[in-house]
Amino acid sequence: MAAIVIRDVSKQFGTVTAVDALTLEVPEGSIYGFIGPNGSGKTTTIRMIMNLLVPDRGSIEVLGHAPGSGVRDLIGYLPEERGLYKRMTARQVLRYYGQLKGRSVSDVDAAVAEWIAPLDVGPWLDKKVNALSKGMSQKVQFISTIVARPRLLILDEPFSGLDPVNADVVRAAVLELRRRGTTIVFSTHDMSSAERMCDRIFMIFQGRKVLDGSLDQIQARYGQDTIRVRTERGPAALEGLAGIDAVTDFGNYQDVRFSGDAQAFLTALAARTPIRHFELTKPSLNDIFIRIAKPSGSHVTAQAGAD
Amino acid sequence: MSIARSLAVANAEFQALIRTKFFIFGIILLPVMIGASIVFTNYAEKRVDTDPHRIAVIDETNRLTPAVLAAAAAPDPQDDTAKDTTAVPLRGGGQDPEATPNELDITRKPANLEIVPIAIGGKSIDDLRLDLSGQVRAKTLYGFVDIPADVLTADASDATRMDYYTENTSNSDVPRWLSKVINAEITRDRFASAHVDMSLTDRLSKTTRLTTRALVERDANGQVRHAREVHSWETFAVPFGLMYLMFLAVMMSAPHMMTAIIEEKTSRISEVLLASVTPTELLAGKLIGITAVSVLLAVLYLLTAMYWAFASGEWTLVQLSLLPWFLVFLICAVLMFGSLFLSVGAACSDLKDAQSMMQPAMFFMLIPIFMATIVLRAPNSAVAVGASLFPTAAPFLMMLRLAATPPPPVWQVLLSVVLTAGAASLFVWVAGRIFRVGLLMQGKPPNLPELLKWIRA
Repeated sequence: MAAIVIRDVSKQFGTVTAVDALTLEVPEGSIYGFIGPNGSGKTTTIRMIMNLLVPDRGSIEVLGHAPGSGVRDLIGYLPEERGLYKRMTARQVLRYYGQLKGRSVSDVDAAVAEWIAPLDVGPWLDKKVNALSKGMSQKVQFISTIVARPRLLILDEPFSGLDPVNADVVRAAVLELRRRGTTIVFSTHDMSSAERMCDRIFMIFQGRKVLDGSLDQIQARYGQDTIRVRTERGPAALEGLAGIDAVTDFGNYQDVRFSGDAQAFLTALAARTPIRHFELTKPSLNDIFIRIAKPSGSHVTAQAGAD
Repeated sequence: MSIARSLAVANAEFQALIRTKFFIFGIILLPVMIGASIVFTNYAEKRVDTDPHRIAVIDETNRLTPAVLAAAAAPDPQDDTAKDTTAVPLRGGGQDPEATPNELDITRKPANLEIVPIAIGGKSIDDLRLDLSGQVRAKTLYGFVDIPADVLTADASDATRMDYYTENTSNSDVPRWLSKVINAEITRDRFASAHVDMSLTDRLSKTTRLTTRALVERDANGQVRHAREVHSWETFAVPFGLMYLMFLAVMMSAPHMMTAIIEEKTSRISEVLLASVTPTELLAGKLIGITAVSVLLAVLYLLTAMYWAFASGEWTLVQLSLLPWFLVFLICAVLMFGSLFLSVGAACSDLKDAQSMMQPAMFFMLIPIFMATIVLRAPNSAVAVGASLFPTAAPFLMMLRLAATPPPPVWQVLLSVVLTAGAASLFVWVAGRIFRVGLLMQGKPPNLPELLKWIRA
């Protein structure tokens, strides 16, 4: 059974089409990654699933129901921009949010107790929210979305702003929830998280669906057209070689999108500079994202900081 | 709509409101502040103007100056501290000591008063005036008064007048006192010239006190019971007290909701809330929360007031029959103004925008306060009836009329309840529409046409 079924949904804001004839099915029990550049329609899609926005056209089904009051209690939602009441303690906020989902205080306390240790929030539960660090309040926000034991969890940018340790802690919690059967939809700009965690990936660009499938399926569409090289001269050694469509410079190595004979390319490159590493590979999700979102981009794309 | 969700919201709002410092201080501070401001005003009226008041008197009649000097030397009869002393009566004695001083007579002797008689000595009046004006400019004099010679003739024409010259034209205490003292002496002098005994006229024209009483009733034993005396403060205390209490109870909760909503919007809590409850449930919860706070506040004050009334034997002030009406009108007022402030909060994304949009709302709240005196003076006049039926003013003004005498006809009370409840429902409905759209809206606040579109959408 599908947790979310979106059929031919469109949403306009004034003259801007935020979502254009979108059809998507999220299977129950899966982790589904929503990716796409800023302003491409991710948040609008999520808000329509949450019934915070009503589609202009098309239909949406969530856990077999129309969105709204019927299923709201079964969904945990972490919006992209989220806040907590500053003057309440973390525990008061969690209880309040749980009550709004129709849970009793004791239910909420029991659910919170399960996550104290994994998320390491124990000492902070009875502190006022405005005394929490950013990472800690994000973890409290994450707990607040799962205190009502949702069947479907929708997380908009759950890892943004978390340090690597806390990001790993939240990632582990998400995977644990999936193991318990929760369906998880999350949007992210962190392609490596999407690659590692998601069963399926959906990319939206300018309101339209441009990718939808497992990572393997998506990569298969782009073939083995990428060569990862590491040379002494770096990106300068690649200049002017025949068959190069695009170069993504990661600093220590370069990903070359190449069409033609890889052997001839290797020979030509070896004539210019000593080669340390040469690998035929699939394009990364990051690369695919950039190819779609920046088709007219410069020939050499600098990629600082990514892995 | 789930009542349980709304109650969860209401509980959170209630807790949040009564825990604010503003609320706790407000409960205690407000009565203290009202009391302090009354005491201060009283004190300030007497003490603020303590500069020396050196007043020169050009007395062209040559007969009035001694009386002015005597009055200046006598203690002020209006001054509490000087009460029961042998104040020199301004009207030549024989005044009824029982008579309460006329409340409207607010003549007060200026502090540090010094009267300087000016000898005319053959100079022209214009020269004298010029000379004294120079002294006023040089600050050696505060002002001077010029009494023309013909003021004492009994048939003084209307054109006859005295002139008071000063740089401090805004101080009305000095000329008022001068006018009263000099005129009293002029009157005495005219009586004397006409050979009429002043003490006789005082005795003959003695005023008789008029006492305001409630109506006469026949008691259980068939005796006609003499109606009790109604003090003027008594007729004002209960109606004004109840009206101000209602105003206070609304003010302590409704505007706070606006800031709370804006905080939820700016810290992006609204979206989290709306993922769990409908806008209607959220609005209902918030309204229930502030109503509870207002009622709690009002009940606390009422109980204190009742305790005070019983303890001090003023039990006639306690009118339990007013209580249900008070609660009905209070709830309507909170719902009405609460929805109004919540709508403003939901439509704006920062406090500055909201404050400018809030001004009209505050204006509506203040109208009844301004009109209260007019309504109380003539509770059955067309203006009073109209104002106490107009929904935003009705809770305050109809309450005022209910507590005053004569009470309004029942049909008017019921009509105002119906109108107010109707208006409150309309306000809540509109707030619900604005809530749906406004809560997730960031950026600039909507203009009126946009707002109307939200409401119609």
